[in-house]
Amino acid sequence: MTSPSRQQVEQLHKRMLGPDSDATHDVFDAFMEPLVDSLVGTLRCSRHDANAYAADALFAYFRKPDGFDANQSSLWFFLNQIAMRRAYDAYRSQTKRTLRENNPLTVVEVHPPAPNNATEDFVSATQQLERLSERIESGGYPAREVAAMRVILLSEGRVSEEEMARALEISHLPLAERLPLVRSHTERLRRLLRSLYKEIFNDER
Amino acid sequence: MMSVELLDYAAKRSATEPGLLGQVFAIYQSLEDCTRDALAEELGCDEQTLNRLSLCRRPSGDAFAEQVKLLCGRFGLEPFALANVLRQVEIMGSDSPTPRATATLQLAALDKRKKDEPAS
Repeated sequence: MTSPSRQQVEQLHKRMLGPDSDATHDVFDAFMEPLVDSLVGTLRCSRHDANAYAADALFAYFRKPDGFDANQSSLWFFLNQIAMRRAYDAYRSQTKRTLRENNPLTVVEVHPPAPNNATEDFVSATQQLERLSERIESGGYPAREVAAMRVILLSEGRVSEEEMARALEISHLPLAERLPLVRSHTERLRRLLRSLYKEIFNDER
Repeated sequence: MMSVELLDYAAKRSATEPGLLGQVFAIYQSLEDCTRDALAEELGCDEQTLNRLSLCRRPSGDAFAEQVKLLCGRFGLEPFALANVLRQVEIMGSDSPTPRATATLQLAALDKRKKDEPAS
């Protein structure tokens, strides 16, 4: 489905500013489907999520139609931007929730070592992770880097490309663009973690 | 034109959107304890038309009568039925179904149901 013509849009916006009760219906009719298609095509999100973001954008416009300035942008661009922002906000909070739930400290506590391992080893590993985690948190690193470092700490050996991309907030990029970015960031953050580890535990020796 | 699936979704969302008829209908349904089918029947339309109507702005102010007429003309409704629904919700004085307002409406609906039940 294509987006409405410029003339149609101008007319719709004019009606939105007036008393026409069915103007909101016509805006929905003209924009909902193209917005959903655009979100699914650009962000590769599910149709269900795209419906929610598109509806959010349209309701935001209905509440304050005079918030749109026709001299600054087109209504299509305006609505698309709101919908995209909603999508990114939802995505960010979902990633944060997942990472919080997957906090390495929780993992260590939930999956304690086998009973034949010495308790001291477990306590020491937990403490080391705690120290490293504190150091990362207080280091003033951007939230996405902290999230990515957590993914590395959680992974045993091979880091999942998908999880790293999510943590770095670059899942929306095409695979060809995303893969080299994930690789370079993973390498860089691994080096940073190694140096932080050395910094903390060498100082104590 | 929107697909039936999208229209259905948008109409559901409109139930919590102040200023849209979807919210007025949600309040009315709660007040009268009636189903969506029953409301559609009362307005003299099918469910899909009710969904389209839910996405329209609630007529108010000086343009009330004119806007009700416009909506009824466009969607083929009986003007008296739509005006009646709008007035009933207005009389209850609840523009937004806040938890308190919703509770009041539910209590009113419960009272009405009790009154309607035959005495045993």
